Amino acid sequence: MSNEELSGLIEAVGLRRDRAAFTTLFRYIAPRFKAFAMSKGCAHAEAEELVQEAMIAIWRRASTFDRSKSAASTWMFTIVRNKRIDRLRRERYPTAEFDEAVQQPADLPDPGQSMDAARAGESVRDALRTLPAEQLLVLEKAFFEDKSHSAIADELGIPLGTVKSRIRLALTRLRGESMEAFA
Amino acid sequence: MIRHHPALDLLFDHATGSLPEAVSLAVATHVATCPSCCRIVAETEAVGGAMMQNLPPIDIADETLKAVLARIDEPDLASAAPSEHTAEAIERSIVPPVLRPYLGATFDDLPWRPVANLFEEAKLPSFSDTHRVSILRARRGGFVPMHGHGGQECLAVLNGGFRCTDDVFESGDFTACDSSTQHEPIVDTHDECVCLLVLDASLRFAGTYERDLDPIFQM
Repeated sequence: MSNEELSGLIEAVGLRRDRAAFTTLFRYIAPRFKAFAMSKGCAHAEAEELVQEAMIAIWRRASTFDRSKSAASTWMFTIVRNKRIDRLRRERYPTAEFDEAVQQPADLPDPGQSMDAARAGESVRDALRTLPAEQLLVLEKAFFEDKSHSAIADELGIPLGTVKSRIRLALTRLRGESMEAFA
Repeated sequence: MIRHHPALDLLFDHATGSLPEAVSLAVATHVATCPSCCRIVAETEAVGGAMMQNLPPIDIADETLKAVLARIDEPDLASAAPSEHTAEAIERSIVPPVLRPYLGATFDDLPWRPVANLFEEAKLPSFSDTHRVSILRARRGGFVPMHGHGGQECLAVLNGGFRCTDDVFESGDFTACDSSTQHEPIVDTHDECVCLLVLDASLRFAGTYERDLDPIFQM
């Protein structure tokens, strides 16, 4: 399902409490949430509980989703990431939204304006298929097993600098021009 | 103008969720005021979203969908109205929303403790096991005497600023250092400095302050 379609479903839930749209969204994303939970080592039963918590959070927060700010897949990733940290580590995840109330006067415009979020989400998915295996492996350790740079270096028995360069190469390739910071 | 940012590694590890909560809090406090770092975190999360979407789906029990549909109309207890305690901090506008729930009191009612008449520290309660998380504040002339670090230190400036040899850190800036760093930050470029400090090991003070301050900054 494309990010356009996913955005439409989340908006239907947010605006109209649309249960049919929510069920369609569930059938698509919940099995991926479950795969995400199990990639960190959750057993089936615990993974399904985590899926429940994440889907309920999506129902409750759907009205805060803004397709101009983030792709639907990005928004849902942050929800399931936070639920997994909450459940497995008993910690909260401090989610910062860029806060204009404390913005410095000389700062740049809204960070969301510079890219078309949904289209960027699709191009990342396509680019992932072309990534060298060694770069993909490092990203999987980071996102699926929530391992830090140093934990990945320890596990793979490679220098920290190699982990850093693989991650930067991967991100530069995935985000193209928009990921200048990692170039 | 923000000049000092977290390393890209730290922003990336924050976005994947691999940092301990205390360190993530310091990074998030900076990200809340920094559009360019906010964008880097958002772009990294977009990679996470795409990778999650590409995962081979694993079948879900029908009962799970039924259970969710039965639960979505329950009242949402977790998102109760924000505590009134934070009203004053919001008024002061120096504590970004991500940090507010961790204070548990108004800014002025935090458990402020003077340290050797040089600065004040208020330790935040939630992190007693693994990290020492504090708000430090000092007026012009205040300083933290020369010290080394037993581990990693992260600092986000909330208001005012301080100087460390030739570097000046101001509201919104972030800095991290490890056991290889010795320094003596001083508030002499601004009238005051308020910052969030996250430590995963004790500070080690040198010289005459050793006896007075070492026991205070134990974990």
